[in-house]
Amino acid sequence: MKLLKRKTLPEILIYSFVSLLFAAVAFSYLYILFWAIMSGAKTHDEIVMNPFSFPSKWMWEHFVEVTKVLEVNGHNFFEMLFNSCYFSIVGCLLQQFTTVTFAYCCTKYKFPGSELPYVIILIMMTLPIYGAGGAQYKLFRSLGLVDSYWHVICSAGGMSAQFLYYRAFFKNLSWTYAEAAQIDGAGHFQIYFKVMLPQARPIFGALFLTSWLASWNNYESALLYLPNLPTLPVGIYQFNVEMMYRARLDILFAACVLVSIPALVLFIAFNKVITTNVSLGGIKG
Amino acid sequence: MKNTLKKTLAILLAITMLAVLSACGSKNSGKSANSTTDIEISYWNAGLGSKWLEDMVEAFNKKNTKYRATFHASANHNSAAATYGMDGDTVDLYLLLMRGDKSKMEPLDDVLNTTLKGENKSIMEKFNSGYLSMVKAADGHYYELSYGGGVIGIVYNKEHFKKAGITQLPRTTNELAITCDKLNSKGYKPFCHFAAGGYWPFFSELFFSQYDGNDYYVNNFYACKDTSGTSPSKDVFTAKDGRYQVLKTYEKIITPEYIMPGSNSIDHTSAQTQFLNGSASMMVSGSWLTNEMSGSKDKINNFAMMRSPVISAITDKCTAIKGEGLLRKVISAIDSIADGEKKAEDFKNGNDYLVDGETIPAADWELVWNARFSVPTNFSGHCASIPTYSNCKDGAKEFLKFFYSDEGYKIYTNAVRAPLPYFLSTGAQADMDGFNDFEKSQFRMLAEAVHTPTEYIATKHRVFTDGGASSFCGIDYISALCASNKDDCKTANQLWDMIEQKVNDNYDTWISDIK
Repeated sequence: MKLLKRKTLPEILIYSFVSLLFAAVAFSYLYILFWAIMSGAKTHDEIVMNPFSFPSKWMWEHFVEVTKVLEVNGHNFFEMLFNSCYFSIVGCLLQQFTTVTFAYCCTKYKFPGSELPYVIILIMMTLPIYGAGGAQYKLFRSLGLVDSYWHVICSAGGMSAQFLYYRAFFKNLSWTYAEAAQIDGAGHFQIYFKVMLPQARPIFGALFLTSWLASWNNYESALLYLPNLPTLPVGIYQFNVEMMYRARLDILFAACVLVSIPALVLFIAFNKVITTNVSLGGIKG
Repeated sequence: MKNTLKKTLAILLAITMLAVLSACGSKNSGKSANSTTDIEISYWNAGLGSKWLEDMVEAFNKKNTKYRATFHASANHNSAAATYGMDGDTVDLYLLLMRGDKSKMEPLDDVLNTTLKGENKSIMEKFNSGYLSMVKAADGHYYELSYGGGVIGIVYNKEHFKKAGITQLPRTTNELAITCDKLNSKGYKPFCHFAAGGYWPFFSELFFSQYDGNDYYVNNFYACKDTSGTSPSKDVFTAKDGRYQVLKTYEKIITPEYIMPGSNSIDHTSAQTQFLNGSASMMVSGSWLTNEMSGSKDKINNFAMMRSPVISAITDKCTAIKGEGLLRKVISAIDSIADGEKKAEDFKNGNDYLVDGETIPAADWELVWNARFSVPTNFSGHCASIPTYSNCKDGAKEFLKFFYSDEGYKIYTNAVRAPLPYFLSTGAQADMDGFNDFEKSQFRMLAEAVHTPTEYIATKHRVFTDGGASSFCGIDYISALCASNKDDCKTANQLWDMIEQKVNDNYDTWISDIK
């Protein structure tokens, strides 16, 4: 066994300093979470009068009360939860599926204009939301996609920035797999669904998770396009606005904690997938 | 296999196409844009909550078979008003802040002139006259009607007052300054407010109108008409009127010593929470307190709203009441009449009045009476209006009539525990069983009100509504009077100079911005 080299005093000091710094940063993130949980279990008066003290009594019932108090224009907590799940899961699945398929076609099949989407997406990325938002809203409204469960279709454009990830992935994926499958008599759809798409599973999963996280937390789009189908983040946003005229910070923090649980659980469970899988390919050395 | 895949894909594509096509042309949340029977209400939910509207809509829908009301509420005024006047707007009734431009509003005179079944007075007769005068437009019509009836006043901590040995509530602003001193000497911070001056500006309007009289306040200053009749007139803004007296008065009350530290930066509900938890003894607040602070119901029992003090400088305008002592005696006499302890005849002396051996001319008496019972409010500016383009105007009017009925009164007061801008047709008070002192004081103050000064005035000159002018020209004078950093503190004279400067710099722009 190779002996570890003994560290010198300056090295120990630097390592200790860096470790402490990282610990402090990690603590600051974790403390915010703890503080939010703690605030959710305090009374409104305690939050305002002593924001950093422990509650005189841990009132966990606030986390249940959220389900009764959090209401937007007659939509209760569970309706908002359903809307959140529906738009984030179905929307992200549609988005990923259309994007990966579009990227595959544009990358692996050469036809006039196959490179055009790449250029268009790059241009679209430089356009600020203010440039396109108005026209987009008008279009969705004309199509009857505002305030409708069919709004989920808007996710199925295939022209998102994630196109670039999939494009890079398929560029690096050898066509040899397809040729082998063609020799075995596979058609284009079979090659895509049975050979190429399964290889994109890791990146598909990683991008699905990142887009799901963004979609779950996103309230701006839902606020704009789904005013009568509020999602949970919209509910919290509206409740936060109401705080101007309502003294229930306890419920606000309890709601924030509840809404962040799914995202936290998923991140804890899949953080490696999210941070590493976007660069994996199919050909092993 | 190849065929199966193609079939699956075809079915998927067909479903997608069907979905897209069926989504086309769908209506928003089931509301028919052209419905003549569905009443869509957009409500700015500020402080009063939306429980009353829920109850009101439910009761209306139960009673009314022809129309069906629904509402959506937002605590953000801009969100609630976002669709107003826009193409495709389906809202039939807006419950928002008063607007300057009435061109897209349906006149509501017929609503006011209605006498409801089972009642013996028209809605106009039931309405608080102070409120009504504020919403009457320059052309004599009513395009907006107040739906909130709350008041603004100085709320005080009864326990602090008792411990500081204060038995007489301040009758004048000088007495208020003495009260502040007593509280301060006992270790209580006399006042707290929230950022940008809290609700002090509404009190400024009160003191301004007390000093110059409601007539000058409404028909000269806010009509931008000088005393010679010229309108618009720059002199209106530079005249050293009641606004200067307000600043001189505040100089004695809104000081760094008397204001809770941090008041200039905390938000509205945090300030109210700190106040209810004893961080300060007084706060300018309003009828929303019970509803907004429902989590502190038990604490609110320790609070009450006092009658608003009369600006001490009012003696400048009196012919006989020249000293602070006599002014307080006159106010005590007036209070004793309002409280039912004495009658006006007890003080009558021919055409004049006799208070503690001093003869008070009727004009002085009336001036002080009107000042004492001027109750500031921002609720007269919380108005209902029906867009001219609404397809369900009649339905919206029916809903308003229901709101202004005795039944509507009971539904509202039960839910909000605050008064309304109108009274019961029977003349009776609301059923206040179980109401605390604070809640009861709202009803008393509004019933006594002679004037309800507010910056929400329908006849306001457009130099205010379009040009952006305001009584104190947008200067944050409250924060400047009590800034904790002494270098930032300003005196009344310095603030008045700033106001004059602002008028000189901006008057031409205000005028040119009138649409």
